Amino acid sequence: MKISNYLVALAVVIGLNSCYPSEEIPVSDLDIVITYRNEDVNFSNYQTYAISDVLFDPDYEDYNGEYDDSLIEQIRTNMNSLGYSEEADPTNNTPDLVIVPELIFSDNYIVGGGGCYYGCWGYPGGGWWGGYPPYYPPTYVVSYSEGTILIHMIDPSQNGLVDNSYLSAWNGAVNGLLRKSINENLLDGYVDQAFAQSAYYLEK
Amino acid sequence: MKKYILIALVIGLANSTVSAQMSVFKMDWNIGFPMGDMGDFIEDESYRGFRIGGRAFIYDYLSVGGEAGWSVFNSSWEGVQNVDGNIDVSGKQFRYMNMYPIMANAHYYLGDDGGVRPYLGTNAGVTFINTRTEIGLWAISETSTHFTLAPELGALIPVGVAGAGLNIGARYDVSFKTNKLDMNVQTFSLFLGFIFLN
Repeated sequence: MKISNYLVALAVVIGLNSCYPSEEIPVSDLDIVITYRNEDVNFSNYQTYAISDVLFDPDYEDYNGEYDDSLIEQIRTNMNSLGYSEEADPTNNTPDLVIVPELIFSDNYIVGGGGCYYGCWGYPGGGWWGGYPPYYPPTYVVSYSEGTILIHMIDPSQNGLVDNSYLSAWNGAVNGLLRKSINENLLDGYVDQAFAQSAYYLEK
Repeated sequence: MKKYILIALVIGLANSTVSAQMSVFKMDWNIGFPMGDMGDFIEDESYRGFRIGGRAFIYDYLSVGGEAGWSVFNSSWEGVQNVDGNIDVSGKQFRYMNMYPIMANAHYYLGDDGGVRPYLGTNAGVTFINTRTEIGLWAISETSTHFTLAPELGALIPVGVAGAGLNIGARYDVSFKTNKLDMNVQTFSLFLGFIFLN
């Protein structure tokens, strides 16, 4: 076998390895809806509900409650269509379920690059490598902002079961990257999706 | 299992050097089609795959050898998926499956030296499979090791240059399910490659 044959094989390996599939992904494709149900809960026992105010970090400068009303209304619409009744006087009549909407925002940072590719101490042939000085690739920082809508469905009659906390019967989460193209219709659709994909056990 | 594969590889390599029989070095490009359970996970065919290997003829009509390779399958999927019975997730999933087979093999040939050599054979060995599902801002990745069988048929076709030729054929790989990956990973592939004869 000639050495050139091995070089051809190596070239094929390197060439194909660089073909690892990747594609541009629209940011909206990163939006997901997750729902969780407590398996110990029997939803047929619940008839009434109440919705609390929306919780969010008031120190987060980019949000001032613009979506609160729409979110509450969307939850109300979905609960009613599933067959539940909103408790008109939750202060005096404890509802079967208390729904707590929450918005969470976070800024995330990824630092990459840096270090040294070759010619560095600790690298084979450290110091000057092949007559060239050590190569230090640039360091980069990527930042992205993430938003999450959480919807907690709590059974107030089951408080104090564990660590004085309430029993969560159901949780819904909408998560994605924050971006300018987000609007109420898009978010309302995701809230609808959270209830729709849980309808097989939530529906009366 | 690994011990027997290594023994088979050593026997194959030893025969290629101590006997006067011909040996073949091959490099194949393969197009893979997911089948069975795997087709439910990834639907799309893959054009990214290669295998390299060698065969030593212990008889004019029989060779033993070994090979290693890599292929990657990917596709996207959108819908609602239930996880562990009490969690439902909806969104777009990007699914990848990287496979790294290391196999010993034996082949039976028709035809004569210097001409087209149709063959039928089978590969047996292990495949390392990395399964990765990306959804939203998260990814779930798992690597598992599977016993694999891969019957194949094809033909070695000499071309003008002495010692060179083509390898064409088709094969069916079955990597059997394990505790880590509960699916039989099956692929049907067509391959085309170069051979170098000694």
